[in-house]
Amino acid sequence: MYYKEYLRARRAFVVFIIVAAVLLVISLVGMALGGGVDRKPDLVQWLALLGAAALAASIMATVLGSALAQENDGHLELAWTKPYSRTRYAATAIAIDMAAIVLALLVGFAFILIHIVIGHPNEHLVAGPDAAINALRFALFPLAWYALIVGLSAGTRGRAGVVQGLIWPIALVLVVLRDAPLSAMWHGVFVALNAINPLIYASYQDHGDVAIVGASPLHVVTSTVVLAALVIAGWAAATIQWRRVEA
Amino acid sequence: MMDTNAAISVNNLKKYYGATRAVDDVSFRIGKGSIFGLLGTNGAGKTTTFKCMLGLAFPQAGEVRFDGELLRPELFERISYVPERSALYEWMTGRDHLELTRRSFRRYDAVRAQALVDLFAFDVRKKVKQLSKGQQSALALTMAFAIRPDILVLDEPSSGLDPVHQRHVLDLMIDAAARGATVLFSSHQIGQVERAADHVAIMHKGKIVLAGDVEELRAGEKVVEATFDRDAPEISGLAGDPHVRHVMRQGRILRAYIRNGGDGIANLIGSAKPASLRVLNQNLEDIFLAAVGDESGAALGAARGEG
Repeated sequence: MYYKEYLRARRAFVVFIIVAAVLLVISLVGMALGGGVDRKPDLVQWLALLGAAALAASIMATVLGSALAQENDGHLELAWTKPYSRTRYAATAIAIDMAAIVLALLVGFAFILIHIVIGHPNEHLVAGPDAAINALRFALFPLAWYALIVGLSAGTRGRAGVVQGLIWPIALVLVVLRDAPLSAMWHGVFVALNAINPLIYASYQDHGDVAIVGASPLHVVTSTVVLAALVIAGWAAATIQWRRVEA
Repeated sequence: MMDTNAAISVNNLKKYYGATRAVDDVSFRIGKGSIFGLLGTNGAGKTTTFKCMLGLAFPQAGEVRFDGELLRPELFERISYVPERSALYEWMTGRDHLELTRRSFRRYDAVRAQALVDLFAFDVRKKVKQLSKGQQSALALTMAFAIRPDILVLDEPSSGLDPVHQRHVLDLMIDAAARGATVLFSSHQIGQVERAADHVAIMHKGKIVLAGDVEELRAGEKVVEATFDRDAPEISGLAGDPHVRHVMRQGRILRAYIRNGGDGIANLIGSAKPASLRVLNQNLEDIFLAAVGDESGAALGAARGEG
């Protein structure tokens, strides 16, 4: 029914797989050329690998996040003259994108596992703390990232690229500023702004060995709930804005 | 009041962009099976009218009904729209677009779609960005006609097409109307409108300035053309005559565009002793030019250095 959305998500997914495969091959070849396979026995938490895959999937989420904004650039006459409501159209487009992002997360995770199995055969995967809820948290992170971008860009025309280009540096700077030694007022401002920054809720620490993004004081359950809320809020914000756009 | 015989009824439609009145209290109705041509200069408000009608822009006021119903998404199962500018996706092929149409509309007719592809002779395997403007128009028209809609809204449907395919588009419109579909289209090519449309409306500066049956308009509208051996004089009472739609003076030539009552006007102008005087039937182009006022004539005169 929403064939075009499927084609668009498929196109992004294929590019994601190609890039991931190339990176895998490069890393394995580099490893082979630089002293061979690492046979040092070690433990690695698979949650850390899932977190890394979540970051990779969030890059694809960044690409797909302009879904509705792209329609605003001269395609609304086609999109909105089908026998479906705008709400349904937006919901389906977002759902298809989110499915593709979850697929990218799983494929990214699989590629990282392949890298571990081939490149570090003596490393043993272990579950980290609160494995199930942390896995859900990492699965939600790229979806929240996508929802933030689609929510910010759905009402724009020709500016989706700006949102996509600036979202990463702004989010990272906000994380840094939150922990910077600033006055109480500024600290409060950056804490408030970071409330909708998905990066804050994707932190992970493995006793200092693996740190994906700075530490979060929030409990993992709280982070997971907030990420889920960001997904829903971004979805709703995108739909509401898009319904108001004129062709 | 609801007009049950109208396939499309537009009532008091208004769309303003700041101080600009893009669509200013526009009303018209189109009977079922009719071909209705909307004429107007660039920026007259035709495209905005279409967008407001189809829910693509939000009017400040007014009501639009299709077969007596207010627009709702499900009605697009029976309504096709071809916009003036291509809304196709550049990265998708023609075949992708046809598949998108097939999956979106229950009424999609694959056999007819293929016949239209053959008629317009474009390569469905090519991406849209590889197609010429005319081929993109052909693809959009193929998508529109392939669902056998009851109502067609076509904004400059021949844009970019070669004369042969322009003729095909007119034939498709006429054929659709013969099968009971209602066609609303805009065009800059008055000859096309004259050939295909049975009813016409002329828009100017957001308003409908003239509307009616094409044959009746042609029969009622005449132009009295007088040539003087001096600059054409102003004739007292001419511009204010209720039969006179518009008076144009260009150098030694005076033209009075009139509706019903040509003899009296000819006598009035004759009293100014012109060197020659003719009463001419108007074609749609004359009617259009008269309806949109003397700005184009004045601009032409200025361009010619006539003062």
